[in-house]
Amino acid sequence: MAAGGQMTARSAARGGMPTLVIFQASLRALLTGKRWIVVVVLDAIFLLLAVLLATQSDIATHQLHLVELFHDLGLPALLPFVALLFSTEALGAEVEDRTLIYLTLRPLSSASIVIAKFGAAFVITLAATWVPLIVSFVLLSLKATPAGQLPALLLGGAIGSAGYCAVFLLLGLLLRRALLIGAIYVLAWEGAIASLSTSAAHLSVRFYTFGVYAGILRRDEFLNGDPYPAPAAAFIFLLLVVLAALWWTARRVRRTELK
Amino acid sequence: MTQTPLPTAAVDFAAAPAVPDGATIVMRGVSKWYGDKVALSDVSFAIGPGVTAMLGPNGAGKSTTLRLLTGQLRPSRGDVRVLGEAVVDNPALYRRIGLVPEQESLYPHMTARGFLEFSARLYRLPDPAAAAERALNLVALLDVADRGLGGFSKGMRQRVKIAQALVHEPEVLVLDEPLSGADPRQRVELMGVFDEMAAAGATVLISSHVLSEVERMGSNVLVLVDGKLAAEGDFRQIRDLMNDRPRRVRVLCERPRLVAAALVQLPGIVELRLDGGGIEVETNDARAFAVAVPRLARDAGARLTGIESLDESLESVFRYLVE
Repeated sequence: MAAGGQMTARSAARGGMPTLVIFQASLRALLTGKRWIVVVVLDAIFLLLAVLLATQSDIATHQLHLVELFHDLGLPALLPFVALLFSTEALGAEVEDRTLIYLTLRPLSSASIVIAKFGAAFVITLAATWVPLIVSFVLLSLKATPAGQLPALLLGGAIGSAGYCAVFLLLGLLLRRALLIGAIYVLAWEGAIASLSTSAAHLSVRFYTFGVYAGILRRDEFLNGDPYPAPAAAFIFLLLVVLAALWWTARRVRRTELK
Repeated sequence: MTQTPLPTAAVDFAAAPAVPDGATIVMRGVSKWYGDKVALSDVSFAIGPGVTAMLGPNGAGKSTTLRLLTGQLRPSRGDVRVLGEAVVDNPALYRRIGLVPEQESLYPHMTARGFLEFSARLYRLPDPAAAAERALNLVALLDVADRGLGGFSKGMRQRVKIAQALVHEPEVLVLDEPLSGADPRQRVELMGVFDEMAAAGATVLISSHVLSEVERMGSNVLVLVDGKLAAEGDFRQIRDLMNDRPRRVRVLCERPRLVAAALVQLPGIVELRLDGGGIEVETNDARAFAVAVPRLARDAGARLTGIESLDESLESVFRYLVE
């Protein structure tokens, strides 16, 4: 009996690389579902506030308001919750409905499964967070003097999303109530404890994301004296968080009990 | 169906460490425990190409065994090999193994064809569309291939699960309750598919509790009871080894009362009763009984029309083993 057939370069191209195949399927799965209602609500709130700030405040303060919007709503709510909704779903849904077996019992490395899942969650989080960030930038920079905010918003948002996605992907694999635990982390740890204690803040994705954002922005007059780590250190820390979380997820993905 | 004959009694690997020739699935001294709960205890067996059924009551360790064989679980002790290779942390081996899992769930957002092509791509098959088409045809799902899996009935989902396990033409096929939800006609067709695979040289291991179906698929069995291997091999030969169990036989003849009166004098008769037009007998010496019956019937002037064994069925053997 033939075992699967031999793969050639041409056949691989026609069949698609497995990581890409899983990425595409995961993306399609994440594009549906009720979680989008919450994402749309979060995006709408962010945009509504941007519109209010753009129309109700003095033009001279628009750039400051854009920083505040990112600092007070984008960082603590938009990024983590959008990432939480998609990342816990990316693997957690398959653990929950026991379809993960259709990936883990295929001739693929664990890393390729996890990278595909992370990629799908990250891309969709990026899309769902960059749109309100770009629109708010446009609204608050139309009449104001541009202050180089767009790269900071997009890169800060992207790097923060990567950190959150990696952590929440792991959470989705390990915990049945990953959404709840993740929300508690965002609200209780990052929102309350880390905002009161600098040492606790060092154990939060938000702190380092803000460091990257602030480092790219380089406008201390907008930053209200908030402490933030050196941008390079923040970037390296977030990179390490992403790599460690993905490594751990890959290590566990084939050992997850599908009850 | 071709069956490679392998040892008919459980293999004692401690005494005979060599793996039987042709064995494709081998477990040696495998134990699996979860905390202080023992799911499998020192199980050893070897099976080769052909259909083998894994039987056992609920909680006997069947699912644990299948999970160990497909690398979903790591043994607490012992060695599991499929096609000569260790299964754990060996994803390359999955190219040669197909699994029909117990759980029903499938990706609801995919069509049957989409799911099969998805699977074929993950196996890096040269022509995923053709492989999906072939597998769908095998399980008679071509007419609903483009419908969403979310709307499939239990029987249809079951066939999709079987198709995904066949899409890459595996050398070893492991099936956990593969026929549940299928209607009688589909069951016959699916059993035919498994038979064809076995005839082509594949190893087909089926866990099932529907003994009548298992019996139709072949005679090679593994019987697990309380996490231990109770028996391995051809169930008829296993029955032959159960010397402590009297044989139940029905004798069909004319003048049954006269024949019964003669039969009761035979050595080894445990019980004898008239049953309709025949005589139902339990005997400890089936061989002597078989030799004596024609002579006794002739002596009684009764025409013997048949002798049939009542407990050589798989169900009887299974019942004896688990009691």
